[in-house]
Amino acid sequence: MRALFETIVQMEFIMTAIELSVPLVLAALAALITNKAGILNIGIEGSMLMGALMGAVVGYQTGSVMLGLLAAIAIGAFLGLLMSVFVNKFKINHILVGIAFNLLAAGLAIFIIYVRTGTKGDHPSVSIPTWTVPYLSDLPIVGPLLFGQNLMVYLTVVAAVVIAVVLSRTKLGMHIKAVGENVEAAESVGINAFKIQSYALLIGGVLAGLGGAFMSMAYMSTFNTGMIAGRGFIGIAAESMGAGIVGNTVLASAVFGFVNTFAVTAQVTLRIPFELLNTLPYLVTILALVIYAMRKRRKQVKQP
Amino acid sequence: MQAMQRFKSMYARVITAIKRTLNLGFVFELARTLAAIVIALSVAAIIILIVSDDPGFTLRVFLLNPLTQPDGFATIFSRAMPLIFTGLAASVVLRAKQFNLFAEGAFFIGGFAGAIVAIHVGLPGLLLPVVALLAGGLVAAIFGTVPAALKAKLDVNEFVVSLMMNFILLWIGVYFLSNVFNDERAGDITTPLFPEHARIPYISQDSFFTSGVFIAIAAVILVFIFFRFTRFGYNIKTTGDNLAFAKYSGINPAGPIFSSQVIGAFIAGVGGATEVLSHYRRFNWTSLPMYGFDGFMIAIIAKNNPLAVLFVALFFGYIRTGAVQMEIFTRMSSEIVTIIQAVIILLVAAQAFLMSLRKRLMMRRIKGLKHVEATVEV
Amino acid sequence: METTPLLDMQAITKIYDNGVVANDNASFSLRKGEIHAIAGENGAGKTTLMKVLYGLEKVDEGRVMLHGNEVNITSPHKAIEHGIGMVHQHFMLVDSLSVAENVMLGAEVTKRGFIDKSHGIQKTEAIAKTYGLYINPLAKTQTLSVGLKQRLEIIKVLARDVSIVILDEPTAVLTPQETVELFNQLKRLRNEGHSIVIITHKLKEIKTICDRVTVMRHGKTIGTYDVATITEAEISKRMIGAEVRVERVERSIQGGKPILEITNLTRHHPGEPSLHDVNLSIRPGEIIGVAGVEGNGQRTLIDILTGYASSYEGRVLINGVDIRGRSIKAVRELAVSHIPEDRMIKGSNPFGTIGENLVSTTINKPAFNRAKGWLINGRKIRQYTQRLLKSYRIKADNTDVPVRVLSGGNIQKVVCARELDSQPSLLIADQPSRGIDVGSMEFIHRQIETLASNGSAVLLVSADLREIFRLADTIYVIYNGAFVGAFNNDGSVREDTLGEYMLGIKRQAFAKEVARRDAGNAAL
Repeated sequence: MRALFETIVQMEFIMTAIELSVPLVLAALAALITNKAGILNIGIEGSMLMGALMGAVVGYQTGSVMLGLLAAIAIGAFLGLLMSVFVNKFKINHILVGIAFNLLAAGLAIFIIYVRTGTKGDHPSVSIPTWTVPYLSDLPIVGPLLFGQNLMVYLTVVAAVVIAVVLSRTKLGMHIKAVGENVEAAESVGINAFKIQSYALLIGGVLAGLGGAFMSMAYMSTFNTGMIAGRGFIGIAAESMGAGIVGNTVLASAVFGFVNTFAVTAQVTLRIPFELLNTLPYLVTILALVIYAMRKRRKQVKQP
Repeated sequence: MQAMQRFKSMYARVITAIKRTLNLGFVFELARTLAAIVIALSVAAIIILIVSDDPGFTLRVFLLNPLTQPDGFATIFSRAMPLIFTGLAASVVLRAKQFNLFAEGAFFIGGFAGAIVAIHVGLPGLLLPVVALLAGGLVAAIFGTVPAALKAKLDVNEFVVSLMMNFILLWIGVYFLSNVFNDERAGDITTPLFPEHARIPYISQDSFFTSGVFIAIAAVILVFIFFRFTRFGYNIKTTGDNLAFAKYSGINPAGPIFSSQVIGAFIAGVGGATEVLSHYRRFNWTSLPMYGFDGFMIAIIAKNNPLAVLFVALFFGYIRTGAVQMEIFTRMSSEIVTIIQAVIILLVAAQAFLMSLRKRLMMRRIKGLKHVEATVEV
Repeated sequence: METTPLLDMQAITKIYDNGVVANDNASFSLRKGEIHAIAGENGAGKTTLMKVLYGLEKVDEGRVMLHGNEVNITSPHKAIEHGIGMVHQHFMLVDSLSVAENVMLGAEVTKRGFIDKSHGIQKTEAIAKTYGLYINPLAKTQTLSVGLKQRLEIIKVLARDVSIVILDEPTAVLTPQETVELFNQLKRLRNEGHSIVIITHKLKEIKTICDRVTVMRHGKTIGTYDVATITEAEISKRMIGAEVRVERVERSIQGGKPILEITNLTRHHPGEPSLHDVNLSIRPGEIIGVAGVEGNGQRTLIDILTGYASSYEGRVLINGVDIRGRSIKAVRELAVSHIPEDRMIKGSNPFGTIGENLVSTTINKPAFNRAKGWLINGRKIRQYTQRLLKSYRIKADNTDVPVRVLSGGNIQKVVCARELDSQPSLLIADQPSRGIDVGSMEFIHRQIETLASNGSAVLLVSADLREIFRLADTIYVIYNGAFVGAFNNDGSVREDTLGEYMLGIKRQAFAKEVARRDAGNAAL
């Protein structure tokens, strides 16, 4: 018990946990905004992989972190728009489009790496800098926690706030919710469902692209074809657990990030098998879905 | 004489069956799929033209080598084998209109369970592989009850649950593989070697043509029979086509919704075990094999028709064999096939693709029909 | 009139893709500041005419004049721009949003990029105040009662500054109190200068609040009348019309124990029409027709009889067996057949073949199975379905044709073949000939007659009086969930009489005893 406690309160652990939460939060936010618009976007995993790839390739090629990030955002946005066209114009089931995108992204990533490096594994990348506020970051505990994180950490916090505000306070957010919940009602007051879903998928794509870029440009400074490792799916899980509420979703992703970190460290210090800890996010999500379903059922029974 | 007559009547029946199948809708769907394939291959060819130093040679290797190499066909069949299983699994699930992706996890855990039985259960002769395959299917089916029951009983979204189950099973599998069933001497995360008689034999020693292919084809026939000749199959299909009509006809939809998902898991599980015992000497998977997701795509291209699943899987096996050949003989990554597959699946699934053409054809045909009745509103 | 009307729809013709003529040279004109009813039976084309006006349907012929100028309304958006708003029969609301958010949806006012929530609330309150449509702007829409949801829909329309408000059967889902409130609000709207169109088939409502009424029948407009100078009976006569009477073929009803016995059947369920104290019994060989305008409880009655609705008061016996708690399947096992109202949703699997559709309820029969029930006996089924294909004159090459390519009449024949061929002891036929060609209709009617002659009991529910007259031995009229009249179908009762009962103008002193006696008389 003591060893457990000591592991968790170590600064290094907390910093890693925050870092590992970033891609999950971004993925979950991506899932959230597309889900609000009525599209269960399983393609987030693939968008993250492509974001990670483009960030690394463009960043490395140009030597510019900024251009790398922009490339990751651009590919995410492009894939989001493409998905909207496939779903709305070609009338393909959105789950199928997501699966196809994921498989395509997995293959395409290897293909591009192979063309560029002649191997199928890694591609060098650049690093997004850590943003340290002079003096303040030297404060004990609070310093590194609040003033010494990677830029992407701050960006993620901003993204969560922006998404929350967009959904609750803006016209776009209102229309996204309306289209996702009742397309007919939305269209009867002149809202263009295709346009709105495209916006939502575009925003989701940008978030996923950023999440991927974090993996190849901040968490590590190299791209690896297996580096997303289901983080997009954990994001979907966190979104299901958060039941579409931004705060809860961020919280759920952060918890999964901590569990993920714990799985890595606990294996060494506590001899708790990390494999079983890795199942936790998924198990908890199923549990949450079951609880939601039972609650919903009880409500229905109560109504005469 | 009698044999002759029986043959004649059988021949006549086959001809009418073929005629029935070859209606306009079927021919059109076939043409649509072929058009999608042609477009996808053209896209691949364009990429090869851009990337390759010797595009002519590269294309030739890609498209022709699988057919001209001595063990080409054997390799195509072997590569298609796991896809046939997962394609069938997905087709059963999709027939009931359930979006369950569990074929992925089922294939993985089925392969693992099959391997464990092969190593640790001492059974003589042919009995061992048979039991191992069934165990693979059974274990997968048992886990498959989770998303199935949650959907049938509580109406929990089977898509999310099955996705989560895939990863749960992966990590449980990896845990047992590295902690319980690990072969310490191997120096890697892997089980010990399978006993030789547990393995599904190759047909000829110098090619990869495993007899597991016949198990896959048998599965195709069984699924075909299941939907054509059993009430359970009929109920699944009816529930998927029109839920209100199924209820009206007295079917309790919870049954088909549950059983379709569990049967799908069983087929994928048997597939995983067959794959492991055919193409591997030890079990060493530490990531999801992705065959389940492939199966989903194949089932959709095949419009959930088991016989079509066989052909689509064989086509996928063909382009994958060609891609590997291409990678061996030229400096071209085999992953180009994922582009081909994605283009095909998106075009085939796109309801809009070539649909205006179909409508025009249909209209012409409807106008040609003599017994068009005017509908009068009462 | 001395001035040009506010709105004038001239010679509107609308033919749907499936060939149904919904509006046939229909005309409609609206004055400023009136409440105008469009009356007619279901399928008379009222809703289509208004959908044309609201830009939901494209017109094939005719033109729409607004303030004397021709306008081309191609979408709801355009309609709103022209000052036309519509409250649909099914609410178009986003449940998770608040009342004010729904009011402003698609027309939100923003302040520095953010939605001005106080504006929405103020606007909702302002409309509430002006028209007496009180509602809490902050309430979540999903918590509202049906009546409040409708009020919200009206506010939503008014928030878009429309001058013409169309309401499609606004009272269908309201309680009597809510209806009274709605009418007061509508009058207030009129007094504020709005023009209102109400689609309805309820005569009382027309009389209560409308200034004029336009009657439609079979897609045509019959005429427009001042409500003050026309009686309910006259409206009813124009709505129902005097059809060519089809003579009933005489059948003898066999005596014996009733097959269906319904006692004191009552069901109240939110969101669906209620059923009050219904009593009925049908004996072998008897066809009981239940006539009524749709939405008066027929669906509820059928849902209970077929095992769809399980909570109800009273008792239903089929061949002496109480069906309470029985599933749809278990009710079918009592030799009950059901021709449902909607052949494409409940009645058939459009993606399945004719053969598959013909055996959907009988596939469990031992005769159709082999290998101890593990397999379907394909040959037997093929022989059986091919026989049905012929004997029910379904026009298709073979039984492998998917149902969805057939015409409406042939799909209905598939449904009838499946339901009738099992020689059920009770047949529940819900609008069995709606929307099909005359040939198929006559064929199906004869099949139902034959079934009854062979000793089955038939409950025929229909809004089509020709069908009722053609088949029924006894006619019950259902209105507002209760039987309000019973008649022997012996030629003495006229369409317009039935129409008066169907529309609630008349009502017999109706008790169990009367029903029993009438049914008894029919037998004699």
